[in-house]
This record gives sequence, C-alpha cells and structure tokens, in this order.
Amino acid sequence: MREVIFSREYLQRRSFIELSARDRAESLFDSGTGRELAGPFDRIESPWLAMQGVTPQADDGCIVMRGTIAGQRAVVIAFNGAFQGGGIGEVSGAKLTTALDLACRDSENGQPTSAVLLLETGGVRLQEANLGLAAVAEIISSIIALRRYAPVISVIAGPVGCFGGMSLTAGVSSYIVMTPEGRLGLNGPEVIEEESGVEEFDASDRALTWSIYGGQQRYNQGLVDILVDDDIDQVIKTVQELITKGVPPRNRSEQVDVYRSHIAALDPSTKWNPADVSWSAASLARPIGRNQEVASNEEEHNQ
Amino acid sequence: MKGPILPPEKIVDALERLIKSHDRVVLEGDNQKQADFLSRSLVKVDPKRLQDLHLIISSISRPEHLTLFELGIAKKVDFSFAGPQSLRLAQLLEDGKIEVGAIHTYVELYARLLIDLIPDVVLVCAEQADEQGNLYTGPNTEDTPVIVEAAAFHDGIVIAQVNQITGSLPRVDIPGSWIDLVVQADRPFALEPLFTRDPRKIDDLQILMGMMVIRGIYERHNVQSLNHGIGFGTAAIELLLPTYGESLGLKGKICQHWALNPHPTLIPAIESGWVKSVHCFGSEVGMDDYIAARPDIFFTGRDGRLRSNRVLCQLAGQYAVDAFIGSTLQMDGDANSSTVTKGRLAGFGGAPNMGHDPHGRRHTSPAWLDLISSPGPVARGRKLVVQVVETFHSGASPAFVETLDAVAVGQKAGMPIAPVMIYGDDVSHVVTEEGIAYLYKAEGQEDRRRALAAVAGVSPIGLKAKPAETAALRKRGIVAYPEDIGVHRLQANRSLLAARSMEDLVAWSGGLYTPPPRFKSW
Amino acid sequence: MSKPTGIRGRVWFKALTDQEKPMPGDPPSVLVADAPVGNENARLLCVVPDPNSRFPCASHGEVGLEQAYTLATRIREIIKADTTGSAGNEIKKRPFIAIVDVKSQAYGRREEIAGIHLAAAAAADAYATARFAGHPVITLIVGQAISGGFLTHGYQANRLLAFADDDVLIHAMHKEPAARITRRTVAQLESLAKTVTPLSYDVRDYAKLGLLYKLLPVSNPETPSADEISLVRNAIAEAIADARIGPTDLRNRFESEAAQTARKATRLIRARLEEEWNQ
Repeated sequence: MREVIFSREYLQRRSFIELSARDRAESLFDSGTGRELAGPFDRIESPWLAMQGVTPQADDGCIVMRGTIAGQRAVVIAFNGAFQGGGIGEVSGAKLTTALDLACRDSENGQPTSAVLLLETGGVRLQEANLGLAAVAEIISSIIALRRYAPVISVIAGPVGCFGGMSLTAGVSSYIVMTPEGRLGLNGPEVIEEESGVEEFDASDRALTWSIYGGQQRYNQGLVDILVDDDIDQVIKTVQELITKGVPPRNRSEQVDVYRSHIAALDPSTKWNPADVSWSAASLARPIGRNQEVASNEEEHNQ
Repeated sequence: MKGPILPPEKIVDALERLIKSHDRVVLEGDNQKQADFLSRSLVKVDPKRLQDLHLIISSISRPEHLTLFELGIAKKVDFSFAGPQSLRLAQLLEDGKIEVGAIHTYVELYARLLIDLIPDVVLVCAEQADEQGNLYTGPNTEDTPVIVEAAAFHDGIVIAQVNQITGSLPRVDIPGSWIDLVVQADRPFALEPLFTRDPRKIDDLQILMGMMVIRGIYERHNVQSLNHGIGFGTAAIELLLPTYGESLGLKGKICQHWALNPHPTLIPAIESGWVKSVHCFGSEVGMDDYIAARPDIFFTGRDGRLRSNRVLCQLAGQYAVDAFIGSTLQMDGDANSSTVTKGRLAGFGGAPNMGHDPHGRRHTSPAWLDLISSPGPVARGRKLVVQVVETFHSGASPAFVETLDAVAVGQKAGMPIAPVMIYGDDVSHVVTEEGIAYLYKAEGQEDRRRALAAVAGVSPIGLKAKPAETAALRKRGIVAYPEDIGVHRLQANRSLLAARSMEDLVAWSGGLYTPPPRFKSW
Repeated sequence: MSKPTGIRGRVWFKALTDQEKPMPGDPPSVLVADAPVGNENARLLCVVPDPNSRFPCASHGEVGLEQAYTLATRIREIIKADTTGSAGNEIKKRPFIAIVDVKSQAYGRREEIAGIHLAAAAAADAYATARFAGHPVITLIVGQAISGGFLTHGYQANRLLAFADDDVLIHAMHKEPAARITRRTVAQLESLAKTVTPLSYDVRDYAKLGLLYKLLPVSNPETPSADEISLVRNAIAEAIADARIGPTDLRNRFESEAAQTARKATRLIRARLEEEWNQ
C-alpha cells in the first residue's frame, strides 16, 4: 500500500497567481522601493470603451511601477487578466510602451533599467482594435530597443496566459519565465476552433490545451528559459537572478537559423504529439519545484 | 453460452426474449455511473416486439434513455433526477410521449422497488465478473446491491454488464447466485466526475460564507458529523478547515465524521488530521489510489479499494449526522427551495433526503440538542439543515424570489404538487454573503420571514427587510452578520484556501489523486 | 473581404522588382528580391498564397512558420552584410520594402505546437532590428494587413504606405469573428465603427489614427497602370528619404499631426509617465 507523502513546504508557499496585478508588481521590488506611476488616481481611462457601453477602469488594467530589484533600477508592468481579459487597449499599450522607452532612455544614459512584464493577456482588446494592434507593434519595437542595454523579462504565471499579438512581445523578450499553469501561444484554442474548426482544435479539451501551450511543455521545448512554481518567493528569486545576470549573449528571437532548421525538420503530413516537438536538452526534468521532490520521495519509499 | 456469461453480440436478442412488453425494468444509472452498454443495447430492440415498458431509473442522464420513449419501447417512467436531459424530458412530456409516475428522491425510489415498484428485469453494471457470475462493483458500488436485491429475491431477472470477465475477483461485492446473465461491455461503463470542484473557481464571497458557517454554525452548535452538498460553497468550507478552522483551534472539535463522496477538496482536511471517518455514496473519478492509501478514513475492502453504497450512505446521512449543508438556485420568502427552473424538469437526486429533519431519530448529540428552541418536558432535538445561497446569481438574477419557478413548472407538467427540493420548515439556517438567519429560533411565520429577509440582500425578498426589525433580530440572536460572530470580511480572500488549484490538491494527496483531464491546467 | 488575398501581392512584387520567383531554398509563399527604387538598391519582401504549402493552415496567404522564419532570414542576411566594416567605413544601409497583402497569421494546431509565436516574433524582431540599425523599412499595404500577419510582416516599418482603396483592410481581426467575439452583429459593429475610429474597416478611417505616412491614390491595385506604378515608386523613394533623416524608433506614429487628435490618450499617458518617472 502506498502512503500519502506530500511536501508541506510546497503547499505552504504563497501563490503569485492569486495576487492582484498591483500586488504582483509590488512583490517583485526590493522592500518599499516600488512606486506606481500613472496610477488609478491619475484616472487616465480608455476613451473608447464608454462609447461602446463598456465600463472603463481607472488604471485600464495595467499597472506600472518603478523601483529597484536586487539593488538595480527596474520597472514592472503588470496586466490584470480580470479586466477585459488583459486585452491591450490604447491606454494600457501606451503605458507599457512609455515605461519601456523611459527605461531605455535611462539605460542609454548610463543607468541601466530592466523591465519585467507580468503578462496576463489574450492580446489586442477588440473594442480598441486598430489602436490595440498598433500598440502591440510599438511595444515590440520598444522591447527590442531596451533589451540591448538591460534585460526585458516576461513572466507568464496565471492560466489566462499570454496570447495573440502579446505572444510576440514575450517572444522578443530577453527571458521568459513561466509556471506550469501559464499558457503561451499566438492563437488560443478558442480562436483556432473558431477559425479552423473543432477537428483542428477542440478548445474544451484542457489536457490538450496545456499539452501544447502549458508552461511545462514550453519549457521542455526550450521556448521558455525558466519554469517556476506558482510561488511568490520563487518568482522573486528568479527575477532577481535574471536581472543580476543581465543581457543574454543572444536573444531567442534572433536565433533564426536554429529555429528555422527545427521547422524544416518537422513533417506536417503526420499527426504530432506535442511532447515530441521539443528542441531543448533541458526537456527531461524540470529544475525547480515539487514534482521532482515528490518523485524522489516516492522512489525512496519504493526501495 | 457458458454459465451466466452471454456473448456481447447476443445482448439485443436476449433483451428481446427476456423482457416482455409492459414489464417494469430498472436501468441502473445514477448521477455517477451508468449501465450504458445495456441502455445502448435496449434502444436497439425491435419496437414491434417490445413496447410500453415501465422504466425505473434514478438518473435520466443519457440521450438514449429518452430515445426509448421516442421509439415507443418505453412509456412510463419513475425517476429521481434528470439533470442533463431535463429540457428534452420536459419537451417529451408536453408531446405526450412519456408518462411520469413520480419524481422521487434516490432512497425513496429504491424503497419503492421493494413495495409497489417491484422490478421484472434489472439492468446493472459492475467492473468485473468471474465465470460464476460473482460481481466486483469496486469503488463505485453505489446503487447496484439494492437494485439487484429487489429483483433477485422476487423472481426478477438480473442482467449485469461488466468491463471485464476474469478468473479471480479482487473481492465479491454481489454473489453470483443473485445474477442471471453477465455480458462484457464494449467499453468501460460511463462515469461522471460530479463531485470534483476546481478550487481555482472559488471566489471571495464563497470564502466569506464558508467562514461564517465554520464560526456561526459548526463551532456554535458543535457539529461533529455532517454531509456536504456538491457546490463551490461547500468546497470552500472543506478547504477552510485546515487553515481558518485551525486558526480558531477547532481541529478535533468539529467535523470529524462525514457521510460524503470522496470530494477531492476534502483531501487537505484529511491530511491535516481533521477527519476521522468518511462513508461514501459512490466514489469519485481519480480518487481511488488516494482512498486506498487512507483505509483508516474510508470504508475499503480487503483489496484496498473503496466500498460505497448509496442507500446505506443516504440512511446514514438521514439518521446519523448532525448537519446537512447544501445550496440551491432559488429560495422563496418561506425558505422553500428548488433547483427546478423554467423549462427544465430536473428532479431532486439525494438532496431532500439529506436536507430534512428525520423525525424517527432518537439518539442525541450536542448539536442535535442545541437546536431545541422551546422548553418543555418532551422537546425533541433537531438536525441542522443549512442552505448556503448567494443573494444574486452571476447575470444579476436574484436567488431569493417571491414565487419559485418550480410552482409554474409543476403546474405545466400536471404534477399534483410543486417540485420543491427542500421545504422551508425543514431548513434550520440560511447563510448568505450578508449573514446567517437562524430560522429555527424564529417565533412564528412572520418572525421567520423577517429573519430571512434580513440576510437576503437587495433581492425582492431582501428589500422587505426593515432596519429596526433587523436590529432587533440581531439582538435576539436570530440573525447574525459577520461582525456579530467575529468574522472579518476583509480576511475573506483566496489566500485562506488550503488548496487554490487542482494542482494543489494533487500535491496534498502526495500525487495519489489523478484528476480527470478536463480539470487539468498544467 | 470576399476577394482572395495574394493577387495584389504578386502583382506589386512583379511591378516593383520585375521578378516573380522565390529565392533558392525559400518556400514558394515568400517572394524576396533586390531591386532599385529611386536611387537606392532595396530588398523587397512579400508573402503570397501557396496552395501546395507544406503547412495547410498557411496556404491562402497567411503568415505561418515557414513564411516568418524565411522573412527573418532574408532580412538578417542584409543587416549582416551591411554592418560597418572593420576599417570603420560607414556602409549605406539598404532599405527594406515589405509588400503587404496578408490574410492573417496561420491558425493551426501544428503551428501552435511548433511555437508560431516565436516565428512571428523572429520576423518582427528582424524588421525592427533592421530599422534600429539604420535601414529604412517601408511598408506598402496593397491589400489585407490583418492581426498577427501584419505584426509579423510589415508593422515594424519606419513608414507605412497604403492604397486608398475599398479592398485595403488593416485590422486586428476580420469583421465576422470580431462581431461574434464582442457579441455584436456585423451591422452593429459597422455602425459603431462610424464613431469609434479604431474599429473601422475603412482604410481612410485608419489614416485618421496618425499611423500612416501616406495614403496613395491607386484605383486599379490588381492591374495598375504605368502611371500608378511610377507614383508608388516615387512615394516609396520619398518615404525612404524621409526615414533616413528621421529617428529609428516609431515615435512618428504618435507624434504625427493626425495622432495629435486621434491618440490623445496615448500622448497623455506618455506625458504623465515622463513627469512622474523621476519624482
């Protein structure tokens, strides 16, 4: 008979996903240094939502905070997945772009300022369609400008995930950090089902969804740098380490030859098992977290 | 044919020969497991040979159940629950294609199998059979024993579908001498994970109500034994015991014995040492290995697997527990409640069995005695029947209404009485996000209505509350708001939950709980 | 919307480069050629339909995995070639011209498994990197420029040019799915778009947002006259010259005259953040 052996330490962890966007941003800064900019009291709301009978929010679902992380200058931009699915509108998009641009300006002037993006977003907010899409293009450009001087770190923690145009912003970041519950992809399952039919993708199949977009799979594939548990302390530690590490020698989205040859080697005439589409040596085991711990406990017990 | 074993390809022929038109046939199917190979076979019989069966089925869950009526193979039905098929059932009734005997609670329907609905043929399911026809029903034994018994000992025919025929069974749940025919199904019987609630979907209001229940009801009345419904509200309570409950020093003092399916959300409370025993109506998909590892808590056989039994657990839930707590879709000003809404004939399932005060109870317990509200030499105690209701549903329709939809639905369906799930006079407590109404303490009908209105928010019922009356009710202890019982609204957030995701539940189980794929988000 | 995409892409690629074949080793759906524009030697890139595409979800003019990585490769090889030599001689950075007629990104399960978001990011990255390195990047929208397809191919340009034509479509999503997802009818969406400019599917309304450099009067985009081709060439040459003297980032999109009205909120946020940044 097997016994129930669990890690109390894992279960007593503090959840990062559960925090509000503001608290998530705040949690990353060295104690007391986080300061919100263009906050809800500035009341810069989306000018387009009310025209369509949608109640706007005073922070437009996007929090910008400045301070220090691991002693270094940093700006954190956090999206609130509960407001309009974290969709990028004119205001939230401009907040992100401007924060990146100011960090870039300081970095160019000899004061490197890193950016951390806490992404909970389905992509462009359809109520602001063309201004949302334009904002995403500007965000991508501003990340590419900043990442030459200081790391831009995308964290995809919660099950809302990061989809649509915003998956490109994750793609051009210096580093991507995910939890197993996070999801990353260009077209979400619902969109593919809508556009290409249920036989192409059954969006109600959660196991299928996470087997493709989930953090564990993206990490196994080498499309994500670090996999963490949904644990505030782990997320903080990881972000601190990456900021200390600085700009990577080569960004993932610059390694065109590598990935182009991976795609050339795939055979689209066969049915794919997501787990087989993997290009990372790190695909065998996750580095952090309890899955490993539980497994080793079980092993011990079986001996 | 060898012994009782029938080759699967002969099943339709066998059904045509063994069942006669107008027979009373029990088709096993509850809210969890379904003898679906037999139901899929029964729709294939020739409607010219077999007509107007009287079907007895606890849960009308599968489309083919109603196809039997469309084809004329069956005419009359007695049942308990029709959740997934409730719309189509209402339509067939309107078209005159189906005749409803009555809508029952589960245990009531089984009781009638022994009195005035004695079956001619029963079609049941099991996991395994041996060549003598002994059955292993395993963790999902559920209703099978009582259905078989009603036929086997009264000249009825018992036909069982099994997932597998094997040389030796892990244990015998039903002896082969009760069984006439065994047939191997084309695929394992259908099983629904009805009792699995994803902690990710529990919200702060449900947590607030859970805290109020723990303080204002479980602690206050010293509730030792209980049954929980399947909503997110009760899942929240289960996940608050090891955290909030522990912080109040209540471990070992409340909630020790349960009549409950193996809810995954109960794992943290079990692993934290809150729970002494759990008897189950049925099992739950993915919980088998975890249950097998906790034979000290669950009822398990020598093979290590759970033995469930719906009738016995229903009985236990009526006579042996201090409290029932569940939720509802609608409640009227007298605390009558129903899950029947317009256009749907859903039935009751087991809730009314749990959700009433059994007058045949004679043993006492501290909680039962604590509900005595009138002095007198022959006063009796009372079971706690608690309803947890948010005053509004998402989409802004009020849960508290002047008249239950059930009244109109009952009239339209020609039912002699409205399909009320739990009658108001059985309800001892109502908990909303506003507070608790201790209805059992109210003096007279008007007092009761005022108490309910005081916690019904801005629903049509709640708008009848008057501040002065409410203040007086709070003073008399008939209504309590969170602050009256030391519950802090600001403390009510998800960080209080012992598990906040399915993944956490798996971790609490040490990896032994394996959730169905549709609940996985990692 | 009912018009098939890809016809215009091919027509304009041919008109501006006098070529119509992909480069050796490239998929048939990506046309790349070097050709003179004005007094510059430019690299032109275009994504076109390929009914026999290896990936079926990228056969009607969508930008898929192969298209995105091919674009990135063909841009990066020029960036590398034009990098300042070891002697420190400044090499004139060649312009890139993206000819855009893309239906969307590829909506497929295989695409997602293989990480199409990274492919799209790699192409956008290559265009932006070229721009920051001093290459003028000019986008000519001749047909559709939708959503992820446009982000991947074209939206990183210094200067955006588009034809003033009813079948030019620049948007975050096609009309029908956008209506469904926002729970409106197409008629409601169209009527809203009359007052909510970013919702509009009309390129003349798009021009009001301040993102475009110029709207070009081309009345026969599928069969252009010699005059029209020469007009477009001149407009591109002018855009290249303008890009060479302007900043390499995208500020022109919110500093333009039209943006002063249409993107007031963007400008307000920029001003406020700048003000509070060092407080």
